[in-house]
This record gives sequence, structure tokens and C-alpha cells, in this order.
Amino acid sequence: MAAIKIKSLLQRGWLTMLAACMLSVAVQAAVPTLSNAPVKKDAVLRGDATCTGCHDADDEFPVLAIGKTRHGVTADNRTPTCTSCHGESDTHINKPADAKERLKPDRTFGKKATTTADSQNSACLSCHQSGARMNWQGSQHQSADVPCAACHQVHTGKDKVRAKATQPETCFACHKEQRGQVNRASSHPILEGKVSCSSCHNPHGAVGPKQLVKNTLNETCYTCHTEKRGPFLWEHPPAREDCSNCHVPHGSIHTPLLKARAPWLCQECHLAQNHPSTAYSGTGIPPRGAAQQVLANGCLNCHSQVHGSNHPSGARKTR
Amino acid sequence: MTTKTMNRRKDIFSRKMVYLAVASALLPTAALAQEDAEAIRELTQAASEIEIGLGNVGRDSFAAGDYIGLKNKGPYVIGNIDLVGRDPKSADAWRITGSNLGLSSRNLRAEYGQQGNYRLSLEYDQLPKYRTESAKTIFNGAGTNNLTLPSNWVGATSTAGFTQLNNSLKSMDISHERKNYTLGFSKILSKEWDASVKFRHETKEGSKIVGAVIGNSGGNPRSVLIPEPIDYQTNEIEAKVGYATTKLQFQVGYSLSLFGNSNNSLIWRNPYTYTATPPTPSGWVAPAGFPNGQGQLGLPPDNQSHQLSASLGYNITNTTRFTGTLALGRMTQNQTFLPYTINPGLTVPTPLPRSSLDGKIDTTLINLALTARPMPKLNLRASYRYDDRDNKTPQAQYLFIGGDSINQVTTLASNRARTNLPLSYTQNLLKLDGDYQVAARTKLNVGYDYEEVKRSFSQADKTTEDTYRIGLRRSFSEMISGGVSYARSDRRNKGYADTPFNESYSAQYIATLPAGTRWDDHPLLRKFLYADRERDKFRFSLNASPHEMVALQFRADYNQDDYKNSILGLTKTRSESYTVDASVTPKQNLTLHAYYTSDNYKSNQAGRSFAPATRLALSTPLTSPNDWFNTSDDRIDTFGLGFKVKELMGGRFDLGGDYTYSYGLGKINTTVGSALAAAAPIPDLVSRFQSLQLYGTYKLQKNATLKLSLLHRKLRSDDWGWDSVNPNTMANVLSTGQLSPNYSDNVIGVSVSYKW
Repeated sequence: MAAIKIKSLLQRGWLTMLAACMLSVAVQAAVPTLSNAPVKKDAVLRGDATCTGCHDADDEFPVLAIGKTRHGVTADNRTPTCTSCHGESDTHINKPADAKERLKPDRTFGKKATTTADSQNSACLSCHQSGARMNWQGSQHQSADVPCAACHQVHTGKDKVRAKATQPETCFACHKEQRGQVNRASSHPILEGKVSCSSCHNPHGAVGPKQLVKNTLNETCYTCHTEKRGPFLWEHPPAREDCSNCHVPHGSIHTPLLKARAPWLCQECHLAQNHPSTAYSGTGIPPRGAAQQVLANGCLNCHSQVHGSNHPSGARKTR
Repeated sequence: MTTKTMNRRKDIFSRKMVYLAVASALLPTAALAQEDAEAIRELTQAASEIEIGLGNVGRDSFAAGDYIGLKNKGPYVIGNIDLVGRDPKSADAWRITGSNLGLSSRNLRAEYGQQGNYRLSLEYDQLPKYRTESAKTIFNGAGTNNLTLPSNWVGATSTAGFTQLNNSLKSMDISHERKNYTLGFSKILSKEWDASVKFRHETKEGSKIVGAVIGNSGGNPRSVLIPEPIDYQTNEIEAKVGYATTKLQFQVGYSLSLFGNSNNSLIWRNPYTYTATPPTPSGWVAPAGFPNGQGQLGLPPDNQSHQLSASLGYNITNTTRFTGTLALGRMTQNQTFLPYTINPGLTVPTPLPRSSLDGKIDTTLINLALTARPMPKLNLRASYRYDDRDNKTPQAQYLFIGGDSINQVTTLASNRARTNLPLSYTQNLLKLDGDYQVAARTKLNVGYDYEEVKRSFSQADKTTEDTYRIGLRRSFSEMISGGVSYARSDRRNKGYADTPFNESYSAQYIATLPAGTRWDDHPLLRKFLYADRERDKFRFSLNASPHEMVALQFRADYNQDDYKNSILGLTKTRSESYTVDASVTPKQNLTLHAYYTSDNYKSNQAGRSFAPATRLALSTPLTSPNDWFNTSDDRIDTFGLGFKVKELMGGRFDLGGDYTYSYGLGKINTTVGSALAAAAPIPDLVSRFQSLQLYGTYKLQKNATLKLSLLHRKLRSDDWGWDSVNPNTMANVLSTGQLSPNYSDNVIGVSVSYKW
């Protein structure tokens, strides 16, 4: 790596450098002078030599890894140049005489950048406004002035928000509540890297509630839980309307991802005569008792078809 | 720019000057150019990487291996690959990535294409779900759709009489596994047009526990928890064509999803005996009982979903954008019905009204949105959403048989005569929002939503909800920023009635009920999804960087739902979440972070215990000695701590660690009125999860790295629903005897990764 080479050279000390400089003068007599040297080549993008002359791997803002990404494929004629995103940045390249320090490029990126989120994002949207990003304007992240670069890293071979295993780290930087929830006893395989936040949510804006990838919450759940789609002969109204009437998506202490525990969860809606309206308490739990509506699966010990039944005798969700 | 940054930049510039001088002096020009080229290549071209190694799991545990595949004690192969090939002069590229290749959670993906022209991808993904290894069953044939009893089984009217129970119990593993195969192709058709198609095939195989009952009224159910086979296939196709310019973008698409289940039912032999003598199980007929009686559960039927969609985005001006979406869908299900009963000994004089459901729901989604910035400081957003789910499933009257246990009741004046209710739903939602920059770095947001929902065959034909929002976000300085927001919603139903009862039960049956008792659920109950509700949401956030090496964050979320017009049912819920986060970077190569989150969810509900004899008398009083109240109080504390140190030992050694502790406590409490039997305390539901991971990487040589990973995980849970419940603890439910998950597990992994 170039950075390592530079460090090792520096470690040789001032004496070596002094000798080197003297030698340099001698050597340069026999080779073209700096002013006659060939102009530095572009490293990746068309015209990037102006930038990569300073912003190499050892710089505070290393940029060369752009070549490892799709943004670095110059054979694709859509590929941008440095200035496509950062602007011409004349005052950055040529520091004005009266400026105390070098001015920043016309457009800088990131959460802490001085460029506004809208201006940052306009650079990205100039190419990425279609498809899954069509509803960016007006989305929750856009409204909250979240720049694309708050989540995406452009100058790196692996943008961690685009990998299932590492994406939650980025999302949890703001969504703290969900970070706690996914650590609960019952959760989707998010920490295991098999389901990512973007498996269900479209952070770039969506038509569905909570920026879900599908148009409705249930449609989103049905992408993996297709067996619950029906339609069924005997529908269970809260399940047909919205899975989140009974379930929570990110984590629960009530398996499987339930808002509350049966039988009380069921009794929030079912209060018919006899056992549906009975008061259940510790009297139904060993050693005091063993109520079939309380232990094991609770109400589901008998009424197991809570997502709907297609059995002609399943009106009570027992078939 | 901070002083430190300026110094660092100066340092870098001066280093470069030295480097140039030294390098130009010491190295021949050609060699320098070659090394430069090599360095540039490394920095600008993606490298391939392969990691291979060996891990070891300390103990067998389903819960510890859930989702990730580390279920079995012993060694496993660590395998991860990222192979890339790209011709820098063309846009041709391929990539093969694989993760967890030695585990049942493996993923393998291959991609080939020419950027800007086309891309072909193929992916395989596996996901295991390990539910429990401690469940037991008396049945033979676990995992199939036909469960039989041991040949020496002795039936009884309740679980206490199962003399052959202990001899017959067999262990069974309850788990399932998904395998996904995805094939994708996308093509850039021109500068503006592109198209893509994706095909996905998923199999899901294994088993889960399901409650299976024989019985027909609340007094005589006899249930067993049995293994339900899972053998599902899902096939999906998604095709899209898109058009995009800076002014206009649109996309049309079609998606098809087909679900298939290899098993349409689950049949089990009834281990319970019929006895003609009441009390148990009164109401059955002899053929339903052991040894010939059977039960049959309907398993998820095959179904289809189709959707055509079109979406459009148009930049009317530089500051005004319109987007619109139209999606037309259809969900269908028409699997041949199972018979009313599997027991041939039961009489079924009235046949099924139809041979299959012909279920059909047509969906329409329209979403229109306009965003504008009429003034530099003002942003406006307006959107309208129409979500219609028109259930066109035909209705019919079914004379159902309760749990394969009785002869069909043919009179319509019976609660066995039921008509199916195809539930339709229509939502209209209008949202208006505005942001105004009231001062430098300060934005004020106000918003209003109006939602109207109409439902068919529902207790509330129509509900409306108004929501008002206000929020303020401010960056006080580069070091401190924060926001606060509050939203208030008020939902009202336009009348509440037991419509499902009136529409599903027969008129003849309803006429048999005394006046004032023609309802199913208590008339004072308000189901929470239709009930009047006042909702408050409060958010607060504060980010502070008191020092450039320190970042602190605080978040508070508070939500409250007040169903204040609900006498019975859910009356109030409240959720709170508070988080403190800190990260410190004391040195450039050292990062420390810690967080703590406290979550609390509380709900209050009210019920009233009543029986046929008290049905009328208890239907109207607003309070009653038969009332009971339940509170659920979930508290979850999550604590995390981690560190990363980079470039130790001369830049060769990186080290990191993460510790997570999650403590969940579920407190449930029931109190009862004076007319009811005394309630008893409910034990706490407890789960304690700890995870400690240490990982280190040591650079053996330029392209080779040694990786070491140590993972300790421990879960302790107490769940009264399972832990003290033997298979025959409940008189009328033969359970599985399974336990709540508990484990303590160590996983070690050593691997070498090679990059080129």
C-alpha cells in the first residue's frame, strides 16, 4: 500500500531526507525537470488527476476507492466525474490569495457537511431519482434533512448499508428504539444478518406506511409469509386488515413477536359468554391450577387457525 | 476546520513533498512509475477475498443456533468468499459472494454483467428456524400429514387417564428451513429506458406445533398439541420497465406470487375416549372418540397474488414535484374444500354449499403526492392515499360440525349455521405537511392528517381520525443538535354494532335468543381496532459532541393510546423508550461505544365474566362485580458496550469486542370484582440474554490475514406457559412438555483470509 510505503520512508529520519534532497538535485540534472514532467494521469475517473493529486489514500479525504465501485467504471458512459457530484470547485483547487485556508469544494457530503442535505441529495438524485427512489421527495428521511451520504459511503468498495449483515449498524445510529427491540427473545433474524431493515422498509421513500417496501403492511408481510395471504373462508378480521394488530415487527418478549400474551391478547377483542369472558390469573398456572386457556399456546391450544381458516367447519378457527 | 484537522492536513502535505523529493531521488523513474501504477491499482480496483477456517460450537442448542445455524455441538467450516473480476477497460464484470458457507444459514450469489448494459444474477439463500428440541409427542408420523397413535395406546376422557403416556412420548425436533433461489436479469434499453425481471423460488420445509381439538363447545374440547408439517413452495415473478429523465420518471410492473402447500390437511387420531355418560366429554357422538375417531385440520391453502403497478414522478419545476402510484391487484384462493368432518361415522345430511371458496380480493392502491418549495425557507407536502381491498369472495351458509365431534345439526335455528363474511376495507388518507425555517439552523414542522376507513361486516362501518403534528429541529451549533415533536390523533367510529354476529349467524338462530341478548361479544366491548382513541406521540432527541472525540446521543419516545370510551376491552396503552448513547475516540485507532435503552410497554384492559344465565342482566350496567381488569407491563433493558482498536503491533493487529445484555421482564396482573373467584398472582415472564464477542485480525503478510473470533452467549428464560407444564398437566390439552429456551454456549472460530 502506498500509505505504508510513505510511512516507512518517513521513518528513515531527517538525515536520510537531507541526503535525499541533495541527491535529488543531482539526479534531476539528468532527468526532465518537474515543469517538464508529464502531466499526472487520471487514476480512475475522467479528469480526476486534479483531485487525486492531493486526495490519495493517505489524505484525510481518500477518494481512490471510488474505482472499486460502480461509480468508478468509466467504460459505462453514465459514470460521473469528481465534479459531477462535487462541483467545479475552483476556489478549492486554486486557493484565493486572500483566503487564510483552502476553501471546501462546492459540494461536500455527509451528516456534518456544510452543504445542505437538499443540495447534497440533488447530486445523487440527478441520476438516482427513478425506481425505488421515486418517492424520495416528501419521504420521512428527506423531510428530516437526511443526506444520502449520512447512510451511504460512496468512496469505498463496500458500502456497509448495502450489505444485510452490516446495514442495521447504519440504521440503528438513529433508530435506537429498534436496536433494543431486535435484541429481544423473539425477533426477526436481523442480528443474524439474514433479514435487513431494507427487507421490509424502503428508506428512500415509499407509498406504504412506515416506508414499507410494499404498498400495505400486509403485502409486505406476505412477501415472506405467503401462507397467511388467503383469502380464507373464515377470515380473522384483525389479521386480514393489519398484521400489526397482534404482532410487532422488531422484537418482543412474547413469542412469536406478539404484542401481548394469550389469553389476554385475544380477550382484547373476544368477550363472549363462558370461557372467552372468564377472568384468567395465576389460578390457572401451576401449582395453583392448569387452565387450558392460559398455559402452552393459551387460546390457540384449540383455536389455532388465527390467521384464517379455509375448513368448512372452521368458523371458530379450530379447523 | 478544526486546528487538529488543519495540522493533520499540513502534515500530510509536507509528507507528500518529502515523499516526492525522496522518491524522485532514490528510485529510477521507470521503477517509480511501476510502483505507482501498482499502488494505484490496489487502491482503485476491487480485490477478491476468500476466508476459510474452522469453528467449534460448545453445545447442542436449538435456541442458540436459531436463524444462524450454530445448532450442533462440534466443529463447523467457516467459509466466506468475495470473488470479483472486472476488466478496467470495459464495463464487463462478475462477482461471486458467499457467506456462512459452512452453516445452514449460507448465502451464495453470482452476478455477471456489463455495467450500463445488462446484469444477470443468481442467488441461493438458506435460513433455518429452530423452535425447540424439547417437545414430545405420542404420535407416530411426526412431520407427515397423518398422525397415528401407538398400537398399545389406551384412551381416556382426560389426560390424567392416559396410562400409556410416558411409554409413548417421543422426542421431536420442531424446526423449519427456508431455501431461496433467485434469478434476476436487468437490461438498460436506452439512455432513458430500462427493464428488469426477477424470479424467486422458495421452499419452506419442517414442522411447527399446532393446537388440534376435537369438541364442539366450550365444555367438551379435547386437544393435543401436534406437529404440523410445513412443506410450502412459493414462486414469484416480478417484471418492471422504467423510464427516467431528469424531468420525468415512470415505471410499470407486474408481480405474480404463487403459494403452494404440499399438504392440504393434517389428520390425527383422537387419543381421547368417548363416554356416553356425562360429564365428559358430553356432546360428542361415539364415532368421534378413541379408537376410531379422528380430527382433520385445514392447512394453509394454495393461493395466488397478482399485481399490476404504475408509478410516475414528474418535476413540474425545480422546486415542485409530483409523484403518483397506481397498483391494481388480485388475491385468489380456490382450493377444494375439505369435508365438514373426517369421521365417516358422523352424519352429514346437508352437503357443502360449494366445493371451493373461489376467494377473490381485488385491491386498488392510488397514491398521489405533491412536494413544493414555494419559498427558499418553506417546504410543503401534500399526499392522498386510497387503499381499497374489495373482497369479492362469494358468501354461503355452512352448517359446520364442531371439531369432528358431533352429527351435523341441520336446522338453521342453530349457532352451527354460519355464513362467511368477505371482509372489505377502504382507506382514504390525506396528509398535509409544511416545514419552515424559522431561524438559522431551525426548522418548524406542522402537519395534519385526515384518515377515513370503511369496512364491511365490521363492528364499525366507518372510523375517521384527525392527526395534528408539530415539531422543531434545531442545530444549536456544530456540536449540539436536537429535535422535539408531538402528534395528537383523535379517532372516532361512526357507530358500533355487533354486525359480524348479525351477518354471520342465521336469522333463525338469532330469533331464538331472548331480546337483549342478540349479540356475541359483550355489548360494552369496544374492539381496539375500531374503538374511539386518543393518541399522543412525543419524541425528543439530542445529539452532542462536547469534544471532537466524543459523541453523545439521547432519544426519548413516548406513545399513549387512550380508548376512553371503551368500558370493556383495551382501555389504555403506553409505550416509552429512552436511550443514551456514547461513543469516544480517544485515539485515532481506538473507538469505544456504549448504549443503554430502557423500554416499557403497558396496557390496561377490562373484561366482564358472564354466562348464559347472566347474559342479559350483565349486558348493560357500566360496572359490575363480575368485572375483571388486567394490566400487562413489559420492561426491557438493553445495554451494549464495545470497542475497536486498529493497527496494533506495527499496524498488523486489529481487535474488537462487543457485549450486549438484554433483560426482559413481563409482569401481568389480573384483579377481579367481588362476584368472581379470587385471582392469584401471575409469575413474571423473564428473559436474560447476554452476548460477548471478541474478534481479532492479524495481518500475516500483505494479502493474508488471520482471524480469531470468540463468542459467548447465554440465555435464561422463565415462562410459566411452558416450564411447569408436563404433557398431562392440563386435563383437556395434551401438551408437548417443551421448555422455554435456556442455554449457555461458546463458539470459537479461527480462519485465514486471503486477498488478491
